[in-house]
Amino acid sequence: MTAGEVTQPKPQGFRIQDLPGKIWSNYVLRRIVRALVIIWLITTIIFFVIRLMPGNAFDLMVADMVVNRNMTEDEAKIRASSLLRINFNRPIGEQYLEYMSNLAKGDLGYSFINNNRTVQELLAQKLPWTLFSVGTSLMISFTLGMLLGMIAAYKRGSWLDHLITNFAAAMDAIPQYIYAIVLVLLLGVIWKIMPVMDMKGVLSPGIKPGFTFEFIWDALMHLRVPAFVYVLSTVGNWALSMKSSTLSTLGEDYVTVARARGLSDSRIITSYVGRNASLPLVTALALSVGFALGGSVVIESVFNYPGIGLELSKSLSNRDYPMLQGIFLITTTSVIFTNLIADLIYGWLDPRIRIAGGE
Amino acid sequence: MSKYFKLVSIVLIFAFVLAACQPATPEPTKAAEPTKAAAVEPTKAPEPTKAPEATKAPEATAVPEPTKAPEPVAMPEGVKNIVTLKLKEGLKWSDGTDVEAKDLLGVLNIAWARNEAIWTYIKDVVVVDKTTLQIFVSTPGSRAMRLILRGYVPQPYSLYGKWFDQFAEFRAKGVKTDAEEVKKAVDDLLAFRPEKLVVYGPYNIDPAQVTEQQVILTKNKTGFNADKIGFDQIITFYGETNETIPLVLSGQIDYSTHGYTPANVTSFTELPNIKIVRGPTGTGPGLWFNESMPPFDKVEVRQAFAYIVDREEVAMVAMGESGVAVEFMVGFPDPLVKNWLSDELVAKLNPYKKDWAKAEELLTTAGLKKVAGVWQTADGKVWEPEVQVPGDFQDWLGAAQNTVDQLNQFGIKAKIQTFPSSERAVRQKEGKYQILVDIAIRENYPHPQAAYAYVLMPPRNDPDNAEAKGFNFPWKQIGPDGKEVNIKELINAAVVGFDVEPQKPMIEALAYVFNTQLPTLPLFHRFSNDPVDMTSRVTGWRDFSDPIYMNNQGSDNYIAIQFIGGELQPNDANTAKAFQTSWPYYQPPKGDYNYFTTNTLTWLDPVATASLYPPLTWFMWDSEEYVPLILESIEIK
Repeated sequence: MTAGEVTQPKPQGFRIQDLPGKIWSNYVLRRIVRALVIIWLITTIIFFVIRLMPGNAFDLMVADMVVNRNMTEDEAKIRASSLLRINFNRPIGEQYLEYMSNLAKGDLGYSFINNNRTVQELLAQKLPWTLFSVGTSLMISFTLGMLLGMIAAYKRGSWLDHLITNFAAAMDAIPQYIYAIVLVLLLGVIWKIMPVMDMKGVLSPGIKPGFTFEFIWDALMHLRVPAFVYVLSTVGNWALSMKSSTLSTLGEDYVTVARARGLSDSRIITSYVGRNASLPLVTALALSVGFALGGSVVIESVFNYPGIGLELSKSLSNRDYPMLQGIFLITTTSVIFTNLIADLIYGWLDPRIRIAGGE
Repeated sequence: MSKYFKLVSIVLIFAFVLAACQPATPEPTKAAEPTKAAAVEPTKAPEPTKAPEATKAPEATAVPEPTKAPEPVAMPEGVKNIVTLKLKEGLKWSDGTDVEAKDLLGVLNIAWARNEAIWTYIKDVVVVDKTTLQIFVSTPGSRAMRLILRGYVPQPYSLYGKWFDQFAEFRAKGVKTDAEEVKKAVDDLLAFRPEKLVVYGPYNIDPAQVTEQQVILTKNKTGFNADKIGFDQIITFYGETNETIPLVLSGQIDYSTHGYTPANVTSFTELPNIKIVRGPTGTGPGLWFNESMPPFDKVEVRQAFAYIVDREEVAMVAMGESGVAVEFMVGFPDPLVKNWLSDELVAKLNPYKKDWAKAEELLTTAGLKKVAGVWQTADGKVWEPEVQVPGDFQDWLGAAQNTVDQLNQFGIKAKIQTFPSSERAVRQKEGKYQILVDIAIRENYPHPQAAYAYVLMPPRNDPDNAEAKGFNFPWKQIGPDGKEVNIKELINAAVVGFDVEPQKPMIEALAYVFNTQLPTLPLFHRFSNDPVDMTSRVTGWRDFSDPIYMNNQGSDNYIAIQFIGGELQPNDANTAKAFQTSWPYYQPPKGDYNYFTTNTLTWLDPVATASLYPPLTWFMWDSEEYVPLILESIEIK
């Protein structure tokens, strides 16, 4: 370009080649695209990883028939072939493309081990029970943990602080299955407070699902012990996190100023300390809600609770690939999208995050 | 964020959108259709529960013995025997219709459409009259008899008549089972979802009382023997082994068939009301020696292992009192020996009692040497044989660990290697092991040949196969008379015919070869350890010394026989008059009321299953005889 030439301004308007840049420069779209890519990536990894597990549904079905149904191996193979008309020897790439193509259409396929039932149908049956059990337990645990954590922080150094902190640390250290087994033995076998079968399943015989008092009451009764186990095993973590967060908040200048202004302790706790200290925990709660959709494998298995976690365990042991893929997809998606929502809210609350992310 | 990531992201999204907009492609759901086609093997559901005549022990002599030589009679072409089955008069379905021969014929026609094994032994089935059926047998034998008398039970024409007729018509027209119309009809049958069962047994499932945690069966007052059984209901609690332990401990289970560990059994027996029944399961593990891997091609080495390993110790470590060491070392379960082997042959058998001096002598003969207490191969390297075992089979793992410990004490630096049980089939076939722990004795039908057919035949042993030889034990061996025998031919011939007498010399030859050559080293018989609550709710249990407890726990269950026979009764404390048991049944919504599907709810614990559809006969394992239950008579020509 010579000194005398005048630079012509580029024509304004939409150009297809600018689309990726435009999408990327938009905070919301960027987060959504990133979430979709991560879901694809994880879905792909899961597709291949579960096929690397030794044995497949056919092998396991044959083994089961030989061992448990007194069939010869040849008979078992004939029967399994007629039941599972699936060619496990198809090229893996072909299977993958077919899976992704159907996934794009919202078709998760049919479960190998559940007669004539789609994965969507099964997930729709299991998910409400998982949301009911894990959701209820999570809310109780979260609320209780926040309360205990705040009390411990506010009464720091007192006997109450030591009691709560040690209790929370101990609760947090014990695995869920220990709680579950010990509670079943204590309540059902040693103290005989509650029949073992009343701790299991979701409903008593003869109770029909519906919005009736009888149904809701019975479902809550069956949830008592599993929910108690969930709360016991998670409340410690919430309490310790809340205590830590509250302690750091208590040292902030605005709390000192509030005290100097003569505000009451209850006002300071609720309006100044509690709200600010709970912010980091809300993010953790969002993540937990996402994971909640995956259910609790241990609790649901011990208490025979027909949620996603129990189905995951059964699908894994039967190498039910479509069901496994469906469960992992729903868990992945829920975790990523709860994260996404948290990101979007943070971006909305704090514009600096949006700008920094776009650079 | 890199440009590449942006680009990949956008491309992926477009790809998804395009894929979603495409017309329907062959769906993977098609691939999964088989789940719908899933069907239960008729042999399985009915099996667990046969009972003797009401209120008394089965009398094996009441009926012509199927194992006796049939009378000679003119046969249609290709038919060797005709088995005539006559049902008892007066049997009623729970919908009020009569149980007839056509109900059993229909079930066999469905078995034909599904290529079930029974049709490799039979040529035709016809109804003679309302309660009589004739089965034309082309390949008679113990397996065929087992399938005929224990494999199938009638199902109601009122429910499945459409398919009974369809398959009868296909068969009459000579349609092949791989024809599309047959497959379509089978799929149609398997997609059928009746709302409840129609049964002829004394109990039926109440669909309103089926939940994730229990299935309740209520009395079917017109059912078989219903007037002789005092219980109003059977409650089957859901659970795998671990889930049922608290139920047993809290006194809520009258009888259970789960595979409890020795530690579980110890805790059960501390309760005064619980006793443990130990019935044969018909299987037991052992060591498989891969003869493609020297020095296991030398018989002296295999025999040395038999002298080194104390089988009683292995059994006790692995199963406690429910593990019984193998005594006769003939490759099939010890209880069958008395009926199948002559005293003369038994006297020739080597019992391989623990004898380390003998083992040292044999290993030295095989070219191995002991240096500073450690055995070395001929080339002077420390001998470190590897014992592979499915790590998820607890009793096998315990057996393997104890075996390795004993070998190490002897000076053989053996080591253990675990793998997932789902890989068993591949390892067996391809012989990817030196020593493998797997099933060494087995009787999935009551005949010694069943064990040999499983262990010594392809794919587990296939010496002629260049690529996958299994454990590579040669077909040609030396029999008891010093002459060469072909064990593959012997195994195939040893089960042909209803008359077992001609089969015994072949079984003897195989037993001798096995005992002298030890292609595998059987360790112990696996007995069940079923907890029985003797006093809480139920009375009338037979004494545990009764021969009925020699029955196979899974297929001719001793408690089911007592229950269906009306021997067991509720006691005064049992106000609900309930018999309580447990089983990992197919929970709702998975379980269904179609008898022929894989997920059928008719597959319950042995007591409940037999209470829905009592079997044609029971097989009494001690006397090796079939005893009719809902049959009036069995005739073989």
